[in-house]
Amino acid sequence: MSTLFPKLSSSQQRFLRDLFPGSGALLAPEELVGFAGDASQKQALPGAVVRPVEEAQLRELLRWAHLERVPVYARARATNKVGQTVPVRGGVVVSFLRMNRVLDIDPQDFVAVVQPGVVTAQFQQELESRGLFYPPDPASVKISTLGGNVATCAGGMRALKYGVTRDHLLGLRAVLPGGEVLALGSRCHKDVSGLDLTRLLAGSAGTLALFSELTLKLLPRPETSASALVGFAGFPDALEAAAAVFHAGLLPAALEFMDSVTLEALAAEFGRHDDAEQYSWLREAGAALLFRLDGSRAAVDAEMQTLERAVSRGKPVFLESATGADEEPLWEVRRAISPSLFHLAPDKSGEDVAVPRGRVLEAVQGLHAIGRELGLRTACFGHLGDGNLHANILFDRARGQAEAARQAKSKLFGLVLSLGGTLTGEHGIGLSKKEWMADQIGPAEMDVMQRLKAVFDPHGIMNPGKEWA
Amino acid sequence: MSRDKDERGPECILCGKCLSACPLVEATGQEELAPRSKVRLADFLQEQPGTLDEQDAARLASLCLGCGRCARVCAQGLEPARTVAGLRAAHPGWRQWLWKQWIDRASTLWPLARRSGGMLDRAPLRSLARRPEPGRLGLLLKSLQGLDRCPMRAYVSLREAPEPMEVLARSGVDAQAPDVAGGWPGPSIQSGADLAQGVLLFSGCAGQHLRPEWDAKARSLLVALGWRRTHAEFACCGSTLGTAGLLAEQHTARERNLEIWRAGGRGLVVAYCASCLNGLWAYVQEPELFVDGREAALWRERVVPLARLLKFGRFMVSDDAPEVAGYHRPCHVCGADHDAALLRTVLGSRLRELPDRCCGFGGPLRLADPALADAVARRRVADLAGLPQVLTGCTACALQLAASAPEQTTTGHWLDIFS
Ligand SMILES: Cc1cc2nc3c(=O)[nH]c(=O)nc-3n(C[C@H](O)[C@H](O)[C@H](O)COP(=O)(O)OP(=O)(O)OC[C@H]3O[C@@H](n4cnc5c(N)ncnc54)[C@H](O)[C@@H]3O)c2cc1C
Ligand code: SF4
Ligand code: SF4
Repeated sequence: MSTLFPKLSSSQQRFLRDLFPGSGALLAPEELVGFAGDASQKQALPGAVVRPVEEAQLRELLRWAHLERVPVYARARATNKVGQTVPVRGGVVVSFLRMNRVLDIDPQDFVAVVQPGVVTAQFQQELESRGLFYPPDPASVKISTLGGNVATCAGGMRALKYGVTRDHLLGLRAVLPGGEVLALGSRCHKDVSGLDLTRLLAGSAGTLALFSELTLKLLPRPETSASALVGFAGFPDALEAAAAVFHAGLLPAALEFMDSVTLEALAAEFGRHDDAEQYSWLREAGAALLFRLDGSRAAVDAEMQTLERAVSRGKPVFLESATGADEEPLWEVRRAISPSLFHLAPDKSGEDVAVPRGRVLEAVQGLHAIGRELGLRTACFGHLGDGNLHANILFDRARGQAEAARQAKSKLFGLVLSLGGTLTGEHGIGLSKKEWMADQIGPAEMDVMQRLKAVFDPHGIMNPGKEWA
Repeated sequence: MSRDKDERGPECILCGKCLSACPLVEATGQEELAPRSKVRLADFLQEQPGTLDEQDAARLASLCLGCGRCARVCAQGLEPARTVAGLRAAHPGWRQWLWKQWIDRASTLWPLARRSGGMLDRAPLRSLARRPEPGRLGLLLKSLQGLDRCPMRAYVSLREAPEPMEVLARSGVDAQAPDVAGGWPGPSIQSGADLAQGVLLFSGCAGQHLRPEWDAKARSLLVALGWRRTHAEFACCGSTLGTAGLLAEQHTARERNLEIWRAGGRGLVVAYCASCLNGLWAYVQEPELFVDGREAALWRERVVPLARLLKFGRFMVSDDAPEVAGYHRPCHVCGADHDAALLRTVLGSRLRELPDRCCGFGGPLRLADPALADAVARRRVADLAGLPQVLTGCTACALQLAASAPEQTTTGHWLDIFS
């Protein structure tokens, strides 16, 4: 039974203990169990865990692992949903929880330098009091790290206006297998010297290098924000309203949508609350949009008026707007979606596919058609503004629907790719979508990716078994 | 796994939300101590029996402060601290181990005597340290902490208070007797004005044995409010016993306390320690303790924080009060924080609420791994810099803060500032 734990040789164990003294190295089986899984719920046990506190340790570690051909799995808070931190080939897990210092916040350069283990929301809070702003806001912002966000190129609600994590990364220090350090990018907001390896590493999911330091771009904090939650009779009306908003020249900071099944789940959830009356519209609407505008107070007021006029094109059945702290209840509805779906079925599989913005209607209707064909309910919500859908297949494992759900997932991916979309807009490929990757990425592209990987990591020790590696 | 979801109960989905809530992770960066890791380890022991050394696994999983912060963020409704308690309870060697730690550590850790006030009668504590007795576990743990600090100077007095019936109405405590067809055993149920005439004061182990002045103040405040107290000798609230995995002892303590409550006509039980209150309210999680659901609901309703009644008074703050007083919110505050509300009323702009962090008391972790508990305590201490005074509403936090605060900061239960 103890073979469950991949074993390192005693000299390898000694090496790790010397390099990471005290509680810096874990080798006891019971201590390793907590490092087996991530939010994908997949699991595999590592041979050891180490906790660096500085770059020099990472260099030594990767020099050694490169020589010894030991697999290395970077791990921050393990909130990724696709198995990117699961040590499927044993080896060493590198926990970044102790590299969590903010090294510099510079309001003149509009730049911050951080270690990768800083929790994103804590960093944003530190900026706020100085009138600064780091926009990327994955829903996991309070529980995930800047390093994890960069390694997955995390998106978020504000991606529509501000872009994803990659767009806010100016540079980084990355340790390569063999121990060499790349100092990439600079504190300049524009920099086109050489190939853009900084952007290449953003989203590399621990397969190319370990980050020891990140240089991030900051913005001035917008003075205020306002949100509007709008219900429509059906999804086509909602899309027409969204198009009218863009047509009016507005670029909201966020634009989320919810389809009729999503609203049904929310109605079941909020129907149980004391203030259920307030949410009666959830039963009347067949689709909803949630907008957020931000900027100076004068601009936000004016834009909100334009927005309210524009959405009238979709003949809304419900509209509520709010500013500042009062926006929270509106976003509460958005945050409640994921758990609410369990009112409709005990199991769900959620896929973060993306399609070109003009194909969203086809994607949503296509998903529902797949569900009908296989006798399953499906719900769709997500970031309408950038075509990134959370397509949810609802099922009941106990009633033997797991296989149908799997088929639905495969069909969904086929549909999305036929619309010119992608398997994943945010969460990545990891283990969960590896088997479909070749459906999207052709042999020539895959070959270049693999050759690139070999340049960084000739022995394939970095996060092996994932993505294309 | 073939069992269906309802049968299995909620499962950990490894989402990682609880990592950000756990003071141990924050203080140490050690993910093996995280709630998620504890839950995983407990599951692993079941799924793969014989793979791990159970002793080592149980020891690791039990490194927990019992603060309950993880449960508050878990969307799956899991309570890792209960998982830990279950592991402790199930582990055959745990009890012996605990008593061994008691004997070994208590005599060396206690008394800390960092700054002797010379006022404490240590004799009963010495015998406590030598004699393991489950019901005294909470007392022992608290006695390890901060007893050598001088008590605080009082600077607040209660000037006026509304009539008890008005206080009941304004505080929203339900004064009606429930309609129990067929009746419940015991004397008839108190309601209305009777509630104020037979209040039971729940002193907790600290108030009874370590800081009797807290109990004295609580008693005189009740008198000043116009409430009459009925003498009651409650057992331990049971929370320390529960987190220590001494579930049978916890059950016995709970039964005893409920008997006392019933004998008094199921009136108000007033307590001044957030952890005791949390421990008392948690009885409803054990439905078999009650005659029926309504009795459980009545217990939940009638166990009341002292601050909830006191905050409707009018107070006078003397001129020599400190300019700023910090407030430490105990981890175990459950629902509205009545202590904070009282202090806001009394101290107004003098009150500074500290960032929400654990004090590092840690219950049985104090015996299992005091260094770990101290790592958490140090982070709280860093927040106290420059504050002349820090108050709280939990007796364990008050003692822990007293043990760890810098010399310039006086610390105490808010009762200490009342004359
Ligand atoms: C409730 C919830 C909501 C979510 N919402 C969103 C969302 O809205 N948008 C979104 O994009 N994602 C979302 N996610 C997914 C997840 O939070 C992101 O992928 C996040 O970026 C992962 O960060 P982490 O710190 O947990 O990293 P981990 O999961 O620990 O690691 C992620 C990847 O980064 C690598 N890595 C970590 N640190 C380093 C380093 N220092 N050097 C090199 N590689 C490293 C790891 O090897 C792994 O491949 C959500 C997850 C949850 C549980
Ligand atoms: S919050 Fe709950 S479900 Fe999520 S990892 Fe922690 S214990 Fe598991
Ligand atoms: S009870 Fe507190 S210390 Fe224990 S695991 Fe939960 S958050 Fe951490």
